[in-house]
Amino acid sequence: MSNVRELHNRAMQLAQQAMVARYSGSSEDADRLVRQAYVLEAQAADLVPDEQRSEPTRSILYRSAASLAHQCGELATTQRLAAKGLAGFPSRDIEKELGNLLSQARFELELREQDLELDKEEVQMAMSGSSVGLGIVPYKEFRKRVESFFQLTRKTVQRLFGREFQQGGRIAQAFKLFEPALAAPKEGSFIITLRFSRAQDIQQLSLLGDTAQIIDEVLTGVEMINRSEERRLRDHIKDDNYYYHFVGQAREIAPDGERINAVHFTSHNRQVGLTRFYDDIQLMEASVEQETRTVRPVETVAGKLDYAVDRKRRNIGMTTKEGKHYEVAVHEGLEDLVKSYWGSWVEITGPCDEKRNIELRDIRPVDMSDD
Amino acid sequence: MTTNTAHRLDLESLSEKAYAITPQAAGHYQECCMVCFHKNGHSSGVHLHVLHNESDSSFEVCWSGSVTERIANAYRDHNKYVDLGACTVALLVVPELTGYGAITPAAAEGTGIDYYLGPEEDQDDVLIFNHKARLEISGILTETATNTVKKRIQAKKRRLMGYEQGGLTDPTQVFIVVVEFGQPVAEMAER
Repeated sequence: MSNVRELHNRAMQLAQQAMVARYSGSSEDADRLVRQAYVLEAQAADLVPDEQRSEPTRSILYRSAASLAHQCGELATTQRLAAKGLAGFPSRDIEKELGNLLSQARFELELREQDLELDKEEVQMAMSGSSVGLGIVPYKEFRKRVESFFQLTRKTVQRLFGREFQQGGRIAQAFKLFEPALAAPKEGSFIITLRFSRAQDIQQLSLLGDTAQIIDEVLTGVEMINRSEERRLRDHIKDDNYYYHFVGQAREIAPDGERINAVHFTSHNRQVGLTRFYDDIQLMEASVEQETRTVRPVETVAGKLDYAVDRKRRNIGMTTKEGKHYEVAVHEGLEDLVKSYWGSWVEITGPCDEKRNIELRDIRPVDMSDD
Repeated sequence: MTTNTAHRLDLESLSEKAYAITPQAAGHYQECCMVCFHKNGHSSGVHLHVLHNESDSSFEVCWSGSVTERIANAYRDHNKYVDLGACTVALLVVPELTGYGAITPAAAEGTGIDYYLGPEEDQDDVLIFNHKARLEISGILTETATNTVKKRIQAKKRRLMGYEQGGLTDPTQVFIVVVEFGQPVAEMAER
């Protein structure tokens, strides 16, 4: 094998064999095959002349080689190959993908090289993406994810205690077991430590284990979301309200694929990555939508959540740009999520009647700024 | 809109028509595709409508064998099978509609694979992706109010437009194909 085509074809055959091995559960075989694939693909890329007329072939091959190296955990090699691709004349879309690979590999190397000794009461959250610099991240991206993670933890404590889902009203002191806190970010990256300090005496905790178990329970749910295992999560969290609350908050933590590519959590005994994008996560399953679709047509309406309607029925008011008012019925489990959008412009989807009563099935933020 | 009479689409022909896909991988793609149709209550012979420009082509999708409960359960919590099922359909349909018969894969972010299409007679052994069209494929198991073929196509077009506004315009032609297995329908758009 000596030419670009032969090397590339062989690399792709190996990559496909790796894909089949991975789906069959043979991850060792898959890793071995991917490793062979990236070596050949890198050789193919190195044979392409480094000049503008070689594009897009040159950058596509380096992206391909870098992706394969990343799949088998060769992070330094991923960086090197992505950098080589960027050093040519890649088109915008390939340039962006090479950039993502480079920053993702750099980020994961950083995580790997940290000498982490986390307390059982701590979980570390790290974000990577085009908007994350060295020690800096946009406040909005940081705040909503930290707050959502705290929400998940609070509700998980209540659920594990067997408490009925409670949205409004005061939470009994007995269930306020933790005071979440933030420790200083690690130098040179955006990795923060969330610490769950005990707010009660140890007797309360012994009823359901310790902080590590709570954190583990939350991370287990996040992992299921990341793997698109909503059915397993549904079997795990049997209560509707707790389930929808979990999915809603987990989606708020999920990367958007533009500013944030990945969010990683590290506890004292495991690492969980959330790389599934916000747009891929649905709040309410198809079966729920299908059963209501026959009664009222489903619509998507954009507006501002700007008035309360009926606290008892958990309805909230929305006003469109044209001044039309909609009354939105919110599932109890999604109230926390909807409250976080109060005063904001959103797009709401759900069955809607002629009186503009809409049952929320999905809510997403929208940018209503003028072009 | 013009409507064409049904062509037959044999899932088993993937390996033969797309020689860059190994027989083993093609078998896996085919199974994913069968599972997608099965989960929507469709069997071999189902009619797939493909919308492209002003045309509505109809394909009779055929396969041999059946999806057992064991096979269906194996894909229960497996998020990639819908995209692989969509790849199967796209890789068979797009050459029919465009005349581009040569398919060249390349690894992409995550564990994804991108596909590039070109005329069969173009056999440059060095610049193997030059003068090729890129194929962006996406799958939807069953369309819902929040997850539609049109929305998916618009989202992909918006992303591609973002690249154009940001800097160098990429002259590479891009075909966007979204396959939905419930109706079933596929829509193809171009940049």
